[in-house]
Amino acid sequence: MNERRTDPFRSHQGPRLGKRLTRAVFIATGVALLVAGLIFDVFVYFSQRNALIDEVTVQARILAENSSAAILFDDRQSASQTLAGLQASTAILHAQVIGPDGRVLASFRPENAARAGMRSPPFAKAAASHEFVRDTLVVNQPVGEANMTVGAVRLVADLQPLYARVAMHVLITVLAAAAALGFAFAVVVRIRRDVDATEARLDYLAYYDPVTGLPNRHAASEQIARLMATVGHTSDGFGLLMLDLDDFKVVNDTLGHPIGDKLLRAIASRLSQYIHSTYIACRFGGDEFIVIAPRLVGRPQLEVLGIAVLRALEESIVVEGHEIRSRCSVGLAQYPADGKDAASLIRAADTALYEAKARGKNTFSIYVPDMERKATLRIRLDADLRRAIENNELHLAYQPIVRAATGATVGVEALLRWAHPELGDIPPAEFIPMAESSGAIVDIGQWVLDEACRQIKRWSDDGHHVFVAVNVSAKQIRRGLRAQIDLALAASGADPHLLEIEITEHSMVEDIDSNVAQLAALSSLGIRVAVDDFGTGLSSLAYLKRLPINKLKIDRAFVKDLPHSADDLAIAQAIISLSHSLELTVVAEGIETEQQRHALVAHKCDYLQGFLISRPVSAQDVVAFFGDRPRGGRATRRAIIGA
Amino acid sequence: MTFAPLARAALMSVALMLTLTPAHAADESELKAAIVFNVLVFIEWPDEQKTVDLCVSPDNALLSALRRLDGRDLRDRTFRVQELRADSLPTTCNAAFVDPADRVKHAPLVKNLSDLGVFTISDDAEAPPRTTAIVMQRVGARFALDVNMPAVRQARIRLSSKLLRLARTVRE
Repeated sequence: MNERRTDPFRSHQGPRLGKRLTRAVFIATGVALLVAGLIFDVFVYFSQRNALIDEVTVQARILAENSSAAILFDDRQSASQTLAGLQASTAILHAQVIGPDGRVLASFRPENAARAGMRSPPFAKAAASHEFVRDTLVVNQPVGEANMTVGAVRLVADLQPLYARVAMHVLITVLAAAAALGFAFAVVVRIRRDVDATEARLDYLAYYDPVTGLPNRHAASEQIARLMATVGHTSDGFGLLMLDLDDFKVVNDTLGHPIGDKLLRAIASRLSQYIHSTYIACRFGGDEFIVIAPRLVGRPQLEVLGIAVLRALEESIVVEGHEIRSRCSVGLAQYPADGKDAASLIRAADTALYEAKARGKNTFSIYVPDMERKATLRIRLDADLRRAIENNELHLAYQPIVRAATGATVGVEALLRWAHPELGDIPPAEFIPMAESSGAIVDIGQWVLDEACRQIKRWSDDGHHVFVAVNVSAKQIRRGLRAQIDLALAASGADPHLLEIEITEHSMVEDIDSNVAQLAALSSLGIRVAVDDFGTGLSSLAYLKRLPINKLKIDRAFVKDLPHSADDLAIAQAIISLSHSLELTVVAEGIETEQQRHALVAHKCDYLQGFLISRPVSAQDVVAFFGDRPRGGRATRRAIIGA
Repeated sequence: MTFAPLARAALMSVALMLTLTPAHAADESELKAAIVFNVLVFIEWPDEQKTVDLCVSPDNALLSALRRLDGRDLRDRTFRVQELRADSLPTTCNAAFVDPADRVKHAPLVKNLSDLGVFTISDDAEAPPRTTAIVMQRVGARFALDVNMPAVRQARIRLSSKLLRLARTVRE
């Protein structure tokens, strides 16, 4: 699986979360450092400035204290000497001792003073003060002696060293901020690596199926939308194939999910190999795949694609030593003919897929608008069928089964009919498979058993001792046939000897061990078992020996072309002789002509059933046939049972 | 009379301090009187002392100038000028001003002052250093102060270091 392969599905480029995280961390860190640095530097500036004011003021106070005598005695030399002490002070640019009349008594400038300029307004202030003039601090300190102000000292301090110190702080702050940002960057790089990887993984998962590595449903929908936009510009349309694995659940259930996943991977790679390189195979979910075929239009092209995909899975796949023959059903549809938007196009392909499954799986079907109607109808019928029992819409029809030799009616086959209140009679071929797939067959089967047993009882009470053959499905057998029959017998009080169970050859061999046990239990009750549609199942004859069965029914397929088809005649003959040699009786069904009857009678078929004798009719009407049989007591009944 | 600007300034400072007479009224004796007063400002007087009594001989040249300063505030004390009689003992004097004429005319008085250890200021270049604490002398445009520490100690007072820093000489 290559996560980084070229893919057309990601609409954006590169990691977004990582970039945003980096940006967010840098902005947050930068703003925090800027604000903190600014506050710190402003604080440093003001505290340093206050310290300078304090320092210069203290110096001015000391000078004032020491200058009072000099002022009082007008001693310039002494005043100058006092000021000379400032030589050690680096910040002082200029100092003055001012007499009471504002006259400068002494003045001082450091030798190395680069800057000069004492703007000395006349002495007027009795109180100490300071002010900032350009880049200097000017401090005025009155000189007092004996409670009187006798003059003043004025100091001018240079602010440049203060600025230099603050600038140094700013520089240190900037360097510290840069170091902090560098550290943040290192941390972010590490986090971003994880975020990018996670984002890439999420991105991949958003568009790809992790099991097969194919684009997923989301990606498929986007791709379909993109292709739709090209129709009318660069293409005339495109095809959509939907594939569903038949019986994939069996693989999962019997071999386990890991092997199921490997099978899906193998199928994905098969699909990719067999389809055109511009086609895109996607996993649509579960065991469903779709193939998007750009610029593929026309029914013949769709057929080619359908055949190619079926062929892709024709060869068995070996997974961990298990050779798996994976079959699939395929539905095809095309844009714009079969759907105006992505959803309706997918639905069309899905409908065609359903049709292919209904047609017996491992085949493909191309969407035609009528399918939609059928599918809608199927959905409706499926829903209605669940209510059919409680609404009394089901009933049984009975078709007589006669002894070949005499033509006497010995039994009937109960056949289920559904009279839909709106749609009329629904053919069993339509609704029974539906009931099979939905599971409703179990309840319906129980109802059939109940009704058949009630009918046996009614006829017995009327003196008609004919058997009633009831078809049961594989699902019913799996649910435990014995219990269902017990219920029906107990509720009706019917004689079990008059109940016959018909099981198709397919159902019979599905789980043979369980069936043997169940059918043996039925035999012990005196219930007979017939194998329906015998000869169509292509299965081993060995089970005939193992199963406790009484009767075989020759499928109508072998009767239809009698007596002209030599093959069918040979098969019918073979089944009859096989049955007799295994001490089973034989019924031929689907007899429609006199010639067919003659042929079967000639070959010693025991019983006959078909339109030639009677169509399936109601319980009331079928009674008319019972009169044909020889009337009699227990001897006749034994004969029937013995049959 | 012409005063050097500096001397006038010194006088002005005293005038400012004490709101004395206008500057134009000043003459040499007034200037000297102001210096005498300023010297007394820089003496640390005992706390219990409420007056500073300066004793001057009746015919002292500065008497009238000093009298004009009488009653002024001197470090929360009252400045008073006392005339010394030749026959009286200067027991109430805190300080005294002696000029060259006093040394000749009032020798016993001067002797009494020195005997009692009174803090003595003089403008007499010949004043005996042993008994005269401070001698002021004109040097060019200004007055120089010479301090004799033994006499200061004998007067049992303390001179402010500010004054000592101004002194031309300090004799031990």
